[in-house]
Amino acid sequence: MPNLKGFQFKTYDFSKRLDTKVDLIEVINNTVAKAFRNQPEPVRWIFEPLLQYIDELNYCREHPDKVVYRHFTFAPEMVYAMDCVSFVPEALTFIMPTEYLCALVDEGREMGMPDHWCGFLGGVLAPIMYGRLPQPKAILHCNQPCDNSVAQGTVLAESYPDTEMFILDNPYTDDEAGVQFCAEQLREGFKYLERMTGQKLDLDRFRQVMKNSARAYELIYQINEYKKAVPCPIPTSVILRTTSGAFYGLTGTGGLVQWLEKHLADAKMRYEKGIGGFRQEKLRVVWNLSWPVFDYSVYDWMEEAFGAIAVAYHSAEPFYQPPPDLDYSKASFEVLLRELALRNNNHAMGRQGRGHMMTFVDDSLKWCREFKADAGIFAGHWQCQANWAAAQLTKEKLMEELGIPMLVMVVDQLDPRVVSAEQMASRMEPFLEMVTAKKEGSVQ
Amino acid sequence: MKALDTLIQYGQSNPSAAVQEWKAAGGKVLGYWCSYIPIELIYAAGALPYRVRGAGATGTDQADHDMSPVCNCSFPRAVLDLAHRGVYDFLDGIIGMNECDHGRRAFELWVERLHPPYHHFVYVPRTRKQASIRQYAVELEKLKASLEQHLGTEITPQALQESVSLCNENRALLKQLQEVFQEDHPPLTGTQRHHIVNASVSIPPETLNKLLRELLAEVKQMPRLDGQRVRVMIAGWVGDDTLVHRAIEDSGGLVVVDNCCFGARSYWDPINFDPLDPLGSLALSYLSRLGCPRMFATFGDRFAMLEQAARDYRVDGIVHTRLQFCDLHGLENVFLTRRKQQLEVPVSATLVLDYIGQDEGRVRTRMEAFIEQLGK
Repeated sequence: MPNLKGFQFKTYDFSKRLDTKVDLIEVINNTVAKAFRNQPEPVRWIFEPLLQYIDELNYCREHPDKVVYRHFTFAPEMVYAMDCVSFVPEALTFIMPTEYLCALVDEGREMGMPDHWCGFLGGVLAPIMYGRLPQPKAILHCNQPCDNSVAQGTVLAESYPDTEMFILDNPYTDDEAGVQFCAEQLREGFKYLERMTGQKLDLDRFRQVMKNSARAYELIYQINEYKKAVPCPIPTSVILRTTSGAFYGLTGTGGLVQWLEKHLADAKMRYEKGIGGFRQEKLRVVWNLSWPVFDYSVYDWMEEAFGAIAVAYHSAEPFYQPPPDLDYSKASFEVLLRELALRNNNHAMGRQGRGHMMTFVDDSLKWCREFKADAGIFAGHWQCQANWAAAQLTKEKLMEELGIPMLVMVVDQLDPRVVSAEQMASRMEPFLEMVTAKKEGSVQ
Repeated sequence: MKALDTLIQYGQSNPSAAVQEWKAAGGKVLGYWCSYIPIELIYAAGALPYRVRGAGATGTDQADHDMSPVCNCSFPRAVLDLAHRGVYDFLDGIIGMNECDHGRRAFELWVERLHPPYHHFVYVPRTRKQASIRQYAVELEKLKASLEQHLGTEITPQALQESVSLCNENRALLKQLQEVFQEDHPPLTGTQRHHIVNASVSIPPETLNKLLRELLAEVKQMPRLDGQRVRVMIAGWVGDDTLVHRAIEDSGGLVVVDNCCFGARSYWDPINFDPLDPLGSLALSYLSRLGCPRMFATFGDRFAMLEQAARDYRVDGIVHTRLQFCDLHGLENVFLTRRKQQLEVPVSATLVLDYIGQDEGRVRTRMEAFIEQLGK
């Protein structure tokens, strides 16, 4: 048994079959949204972006003419620039209660979905194909980060045969040609949205959205700079889902900027007072790839049992350099398109999945170096095959160049029936014991 | 030796005697990963295009070091394993692409770990929109320049046109051979045809054309298969392995047509070459042909082919296959199930395969049951 030290992970009852033919947005309203709103005052602000996104989901039901389906790695700025609402089907699986997610995955399997299919997409297969979600006016899809997303394009095409789709062919390379290829397509994407929604692109609105987006990236960059401090001032387990969800869902909105400003102020205050997370920091870990959405208390366990703080989350948060200092109020459409292409190419997960595997390896090295990590943990969502193929190489490079080890373990980010939190703890325990001993000098 | 025997032997070996002869004559051989790479360009540069296969792999343990069998497809692992074991040392270089996550990464790992003498990656878009066709043409321009530099040659418009003509003749002859299966009692089995298709992606096009012409003459004289066999179409992915064909045909079936990667998809549609826009026309043709689910939202194309071929070849049932962990073919079952009434023939539950074929017994049991169900 892992050293759980009296730790209680979440428990689930999968013995009862939930009714999946329900209004999922209402389920979310009545469960997680309610829980977010009932958080105690000092930490309630943390959940604001998730509530903002849930509000948008509700708005979709009242304004069907503005509903644009958007793949989760398609930069949302384009939708906001068109004054539409971005509805990300995969976001439902990210937010909904785990029991519903598992029931929906099972329903998808009954329809013939493979057992290995990614739960993020598989959890909404049945709701999409049975028409239980708001009908889209337009669909923005793309080919990053993985084959699952490509196949999901057929799900949408088969389910909404009367709704033309816009598909962004994400480039393989990170060079200027890749940016231009993306920008050229986005230009067509705007024309597509105008045609499908009847909305006209307002350049000033686009400018404002991109200004908000740039500010958001600038703020997260500054927050991450504070996170490099020892001890890391940001309580990791509570902020991850919000930060990730916020950038996937709300980039370009003023609401996200306001929230990040609060986040930055909190980080700054904690940094200046020398406050770390909730527990004493003994080890610093960079978490590679996937975290268990179904039970964040894995991080509490790591912190409690080993003082191991996950200081950075590769593939989940945007980490790259902030956008250039542009005067967005005067920026031309061409300049804005290029910036939007860069956002798409560097979107979290898309960046690591669409191109050469060395992007994943090099990003891992960069974060581990800059965040002064003692170890890496590659928690590989078993559907992220492109990143799985980079795991061994990453492990070797971290040891060769930084002298730090990396644990490689299988997880399913959403479904505890594949790998439970307890199983994760049992895999991490001997690894963290070894890293602790190494840091204390008792082993070489 | 008859053309049929020669082609089957070529299809079964990796590499074949034809490749060894090519090498012995001083020719270069370049491996490529997937049928979206225009072999015409490679051949016009004077090299033999050789589609890498898993034939001969007995395990994947060397590849598994980098590509976890927990979630990675066994076909690219088998190919990579063969590369680790030196089977592909005869290649003078390797050309990869983004056919799927598994294949893309296997190519990158091949380059990273084994340092082949030459390598080039071709980004192949997944849509047929104008921007993507233009981008693919740009990628082909890069491939052309890379081949020219590496091989010290120039790919002239005339050489490319001749190469396209040769390869189109390959396709046309393979399609003629395919049409033989419209007969009630064809002279060949589907397993034999599958070996021929495997040979077709790995021998010089002139040799292939010569052998196919001879074969088409031979089949007119060959005795016809006797008995009443259940006529089966395979759809999905079977690779260069013949296990599924053998399992069907040993159970009283006959594979009369397929919609597979190592199969009809490689020869169904000719390349429409435009000498005024050579690379643009190659790009358009390759992205528009009967393809696999790596191309966005193209299930409708494959389904239309299934419908037509089921009628043309009087198919009694369709076996749907995929490899374990294949996402792209993975969801086809959902769509096939939805539309299968339109096909008017039974479609099997998806037959999930592991490339190395350790589970031959299971595959045989499944196919026996399916043939029994269709029984005539």
